[in-house]
Amino acid sequence: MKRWPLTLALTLGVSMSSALAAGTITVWYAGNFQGHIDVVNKTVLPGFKAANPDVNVRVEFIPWGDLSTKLNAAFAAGTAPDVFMHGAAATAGFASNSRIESLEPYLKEIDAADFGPTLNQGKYAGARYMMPVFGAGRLLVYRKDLFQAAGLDPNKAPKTWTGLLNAARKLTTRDASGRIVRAGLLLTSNGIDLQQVFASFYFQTGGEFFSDDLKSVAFNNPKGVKAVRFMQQLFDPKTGVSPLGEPPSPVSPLMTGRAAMIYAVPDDISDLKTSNPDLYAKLGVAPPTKDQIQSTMYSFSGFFLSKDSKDKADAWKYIKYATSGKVLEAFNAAAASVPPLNSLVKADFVTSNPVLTAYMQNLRFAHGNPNIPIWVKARDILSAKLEEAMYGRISAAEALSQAAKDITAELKR
Amino acid sequence: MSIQAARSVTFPRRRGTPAARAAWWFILPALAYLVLVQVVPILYALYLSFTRYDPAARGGPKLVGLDNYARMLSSGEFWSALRVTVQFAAEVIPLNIVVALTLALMLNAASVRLRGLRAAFFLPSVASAVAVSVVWLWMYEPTFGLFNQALKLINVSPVPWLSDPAYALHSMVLMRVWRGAGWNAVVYLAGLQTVPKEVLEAARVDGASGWQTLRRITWPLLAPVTLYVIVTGLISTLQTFSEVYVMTRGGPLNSTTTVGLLIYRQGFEYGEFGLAAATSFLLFFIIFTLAVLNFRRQRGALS
Repeated sequence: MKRWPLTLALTLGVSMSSALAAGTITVWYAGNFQGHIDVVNKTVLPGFKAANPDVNVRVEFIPWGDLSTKLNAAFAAGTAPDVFMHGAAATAGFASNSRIESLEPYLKEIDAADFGPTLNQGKYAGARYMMPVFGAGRLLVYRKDLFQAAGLDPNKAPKTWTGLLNAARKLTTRDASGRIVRAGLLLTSNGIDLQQVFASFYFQTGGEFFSDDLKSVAFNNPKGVKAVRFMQQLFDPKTGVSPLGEPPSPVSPLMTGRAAMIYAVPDDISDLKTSNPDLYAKLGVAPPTKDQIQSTMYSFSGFFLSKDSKDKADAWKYIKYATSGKVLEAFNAAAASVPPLNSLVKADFVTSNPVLTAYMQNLRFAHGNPNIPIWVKARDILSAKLEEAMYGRISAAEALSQAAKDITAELKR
Repeated sequence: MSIQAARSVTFPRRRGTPAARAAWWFILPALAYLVLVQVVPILYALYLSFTRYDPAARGGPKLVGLDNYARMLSSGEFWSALRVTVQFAAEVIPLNIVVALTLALMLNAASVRLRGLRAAFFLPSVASAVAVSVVWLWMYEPTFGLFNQALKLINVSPVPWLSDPAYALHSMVLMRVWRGAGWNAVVYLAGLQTVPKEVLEAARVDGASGWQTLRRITWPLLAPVTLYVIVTGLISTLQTFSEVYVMTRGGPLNSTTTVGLLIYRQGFEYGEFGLAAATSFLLFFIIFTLAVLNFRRQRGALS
């Protein structure tokens, strides 16, 4: 009589293990955007199953904010998914801890040339680890109507730093007390946004964050100081074009009229396409400005293959299918994001959207963040020092020198 | 029965009796929950605080002795976060007591028809901290936010609520008081029911004013309630995380970076679980010390 719990446990155990043994792979998608969920459930999974009837796929959508936490917990517990999506910046951390598989042996099965340099975003120690899925670039987005009202040519976006500062000054309006009412160029003065805007200007000077072997800091130099000083001019309380400490706004500052220009990723303005199509039509997207070279931050997210996967062949099959041209077209069309394939430049969802077209055209100026294992911490250290410099608490040279010292200590640790 | 007499009473030993065995079965679920969900994780976190541990790395935790504690105690960012956290608590708790007690006195004196207001004041306390933070982020919006629009109506310059390091923490305090005062008002309201009516009537007969009655009778009799409000306030404000994570991410210039946010960054952004655990225990030690000191001070005052 009392044997029923044991019988039940054995039955459950046997049925669960047989289900798992039948080629089931787990895939974690980053984010819980409904458009992506629909594409995966209605298109990707049925298509994959039809092509690979012997492989079962269990898909989970993990909000970006929880992704690293859940992955860390899963790695520690030995239950990591076979395939997971993450930003390229995560590559070095996972690769240095031997948590992800190099994709080099698999890449000969795909048209790597179509992915172009986006495949290198997930490169660490000479090997590529990430299959890119979608990306975002940081470009200058401006309101053409406000350009016209300020006597600027809406079809001629600023090409140099001086041109950018002059245009932004013309577009800036202040109240009687001198407070900025409309920012000529609204910038975030802290966090990731500040670091990314600095990175864009710094890359334009021809600078790099780390040495070629990624073992020493390389931004503490005259090029870096030049970029920080330029940004200090943008935030100058009297002659600048952006207020300090602007909090995140629930509504696009381009829509509220708080800003005439912003550095935006496609996500920042995609809502306007439906919520305010008139305004969306008045937006211009400028190619990156130039100091020594034209360059700007682009970052891609993509699939990684877990080193602990017990079914790497099937896991790769899924990655290969989910990064094929048709699937990437549907996936990127859903969120109007930048696809990683050159062949998708002419896709309908790109050509019918002038803003997205501009992001695709400027992909050739893309520059990613460096892939080092402590990147998140290094980025936060740099952001904190840059913020102090923007508030005038320390000089541009001090900011970079202090950040370099702290990051070097972390690299040694 | 005196205390001495009570101490001398002995109870028959019931261990091993069927009733005692049955009692264990009733206690077991709660005990299992306490041990598995509270005690074991706390002990594991204490162990982690003496290790270097990145869950993404292979090999598990590696013992480093007191390194994490030494690193934190010599780190400027820890002391800066602690200063912000203590300042936040020091502003929130007294303001909360004043607002909550005022609300409780008003609700206590209000007619039966206005008793529904209790629920209205209580609602913010049960709302999600994240949802409340998003709503307040809208209200603090510099151009179209409710507060600056209201100031505009009376010709007052807009206030940089969250964008100026001099204002940001106080803006967070304002929101937290709004959120917590309703809860404490209900606690005070319950406390007010325990104040003997005959004592209040005697004071009135003796000619005491309303203020004198409040200061000399009601307030001292509410001391245990105030102790509860202070201790729970200390525990919750010193652990503040959600509001600053949603509204400011600790900025500008780290003016709202609390210890809770620092722990989150160490653990979940930098993968330094050992360091995060050590910081958590430092915070625990501070909260525990403050709570004990407060209990002792209140006991002294009561005796």
